Amino acid sequence: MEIKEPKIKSMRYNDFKDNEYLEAMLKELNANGTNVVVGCLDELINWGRSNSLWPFTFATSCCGIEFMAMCAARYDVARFGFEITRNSPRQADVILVSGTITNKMAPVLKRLYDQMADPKYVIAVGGCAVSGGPFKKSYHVVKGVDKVLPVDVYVPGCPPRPEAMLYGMMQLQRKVKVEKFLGGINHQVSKKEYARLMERDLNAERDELNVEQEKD
Amino acid sequence: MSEAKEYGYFSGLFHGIKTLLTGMRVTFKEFFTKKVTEEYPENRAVLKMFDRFRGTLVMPHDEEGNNKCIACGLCQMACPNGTIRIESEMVEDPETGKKKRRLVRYHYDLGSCMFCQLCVNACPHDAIRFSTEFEHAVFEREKLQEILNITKE
Amino acid sequence: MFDFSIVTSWIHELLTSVMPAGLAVFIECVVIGVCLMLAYAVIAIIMIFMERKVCAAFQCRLGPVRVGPWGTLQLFADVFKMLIKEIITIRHADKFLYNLAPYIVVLSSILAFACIPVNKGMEILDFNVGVFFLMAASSIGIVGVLLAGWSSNNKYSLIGAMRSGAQMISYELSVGLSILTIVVLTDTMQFSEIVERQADGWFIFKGHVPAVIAFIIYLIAGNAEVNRGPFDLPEAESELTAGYHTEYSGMHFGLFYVAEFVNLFIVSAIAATIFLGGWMPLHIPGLDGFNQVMDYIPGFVWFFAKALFVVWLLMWIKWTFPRLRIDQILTLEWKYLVPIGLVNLLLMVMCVVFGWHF
Repeated sequence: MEIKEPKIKSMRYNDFKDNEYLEAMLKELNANGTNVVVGCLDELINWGRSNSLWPFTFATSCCGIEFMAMCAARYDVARFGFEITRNSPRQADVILVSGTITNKMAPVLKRLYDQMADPKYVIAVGGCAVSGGPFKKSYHVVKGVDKVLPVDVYVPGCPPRPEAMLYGMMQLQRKVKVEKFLGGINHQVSKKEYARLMERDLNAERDELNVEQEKD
Repeated sequence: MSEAKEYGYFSGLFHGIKTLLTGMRVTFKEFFTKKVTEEYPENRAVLKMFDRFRGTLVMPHDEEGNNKCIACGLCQMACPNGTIRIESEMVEDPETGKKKRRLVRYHYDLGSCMFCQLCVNACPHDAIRFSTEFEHAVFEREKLQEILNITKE
Repeated sequence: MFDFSIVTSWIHELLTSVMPAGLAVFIECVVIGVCLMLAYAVIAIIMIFMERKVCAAFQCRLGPVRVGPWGTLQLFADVFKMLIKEIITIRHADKFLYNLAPYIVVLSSILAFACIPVNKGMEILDFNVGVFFLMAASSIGIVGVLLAGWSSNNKYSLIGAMRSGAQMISYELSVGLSILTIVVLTDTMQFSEIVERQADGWFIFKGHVPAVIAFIIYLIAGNAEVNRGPFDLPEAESELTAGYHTEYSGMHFGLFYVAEFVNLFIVSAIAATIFLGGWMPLHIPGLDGFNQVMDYIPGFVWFFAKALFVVWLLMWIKWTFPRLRIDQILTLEWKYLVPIGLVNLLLMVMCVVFGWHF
């Protein structure tokens, strides 16, 4: 069964920008055709996943205040079901990177992202997370969080309005609805690969990430 | 400097209970007030931003597709972080033989704009202004690099 | 009042007539177990949805409204997502205890859930020391919390679990004292009997002053017992990320989450049973017409109305007050609630001895 245009309540398909990305993704995913049963189950699971994306409470600067405004009474994000912000990365689904990421914060952010449980998503909120923003010429700012994490949705603005952030979350909902879950992103790591991942030297990795270490 | 009142055991207990009940009365009243939530996607038809809201930079064109930009580059120099990049060329006017600067492409990076409005203030001919559209979220960063002028073909 | 034991004895006779008694009992137990799990899940879903809507109403906003009509399908979306989330294995965690901890918490929750009388004749576990069993079963949850914190291999989780453990064992005492106050008023510990004896008036009216004080103490202590409301320091975000369940993801975390809300319901249901009359309708002695009308409303409607009212009260408390620090929590318990509870118990004993109750 083909997954057609992802529907969001109260929004028309053509109201959204960047439909080409979703159409290209759909074409690639459906190139081999889908099983009817798996397709139906996928739709159900994706409906569940897209309506229950729990954000991780991560905010560095001003965009964090807009995130708080989005969660407050006027532009209530609870209407979508996203008001349960979990503090532990293991329980969160989406990390809204709001605010400037400095070189000192980047390894911490990467570590938090690694600790999140799959399936996980990243939304880069605000100019600073998209490209460095006002601090693009600074010596200590990461010029866009996509140098550190794989970003799914970019929400520009300085800071973006709460409605613009809600629009960004609706874009993410569309992307989740289109994904192929069973057999797609829900893939199992093979035993050999798992053993290799467990055995590799974590200390070697840690040295590169630790910017406070003295350089000899 | 006034000191905090020291409560004994029972007076502290009753004072505490009184303050707790005051708090509960406040939230009880709040439970029955009309909710102030603006339902965003449902109210898109009637949602109107205030006029000075800076949503995105646009270059207004008239009905024939002309814009007022003369490619002077003042906006590019005024922008603090290099969001605007102007490609221009020198064009020779065939009748008079004079050379004039003409705009080829006006690059605008929505991802790094900080909406400070210095470019709009610097423009001598009001060629660019901010519009109130705020729905810009996209999946790929390249889609945020826009070209603002429309070339007539 | 419709007596549910008619239905249960009919089923039992039907089964024993076609198969040996042992097999009939076994099949009944399996069916009851399945019904219990289903009821547990349904109650959890209703509780979480109620929490989100009530919290939003107190904070002047709408809760979930987009998913399904008036947001009713929101919880099902959450359940689907929780089921398919990755369960992360912590490398140096104590694997057996780490995996066991959520199940112990859920186990104690289910055991306590099985004690509540929902309608006349509709209770699963009905010992003659029901109250005692309930308190013992709810204490098992503390072990689960401590195991969760200990086996996560995370010192902050351990601190959170220790704080939670200290809080829970302290407030067990107050819960016990307030329940004991009612047990003194009625000389039985069996839940169905406690409800039967409220036929001519709920205990909160019969036991006037000491019963009201016991009710308030029970609400506060029950709240703290299940780590809810102003006493949720172990789960506070600015304190310890997520306390004892920081390192849990996916369905294990889902079990903790669900157990918290069902424990809230259990605390409210016990309050409704002991203080507010369980499934007994409101009878005003002397107004026979009124009593007849009240009798038409079935027992489980009364029960759920009372339990949900107490849940709403507890949610009101949660969304009004800021969190208490751990030293404030323990001060409240040991310096205020226990002495007042003991004095109250003495007061109730005097009322019973001298006959100063209705």
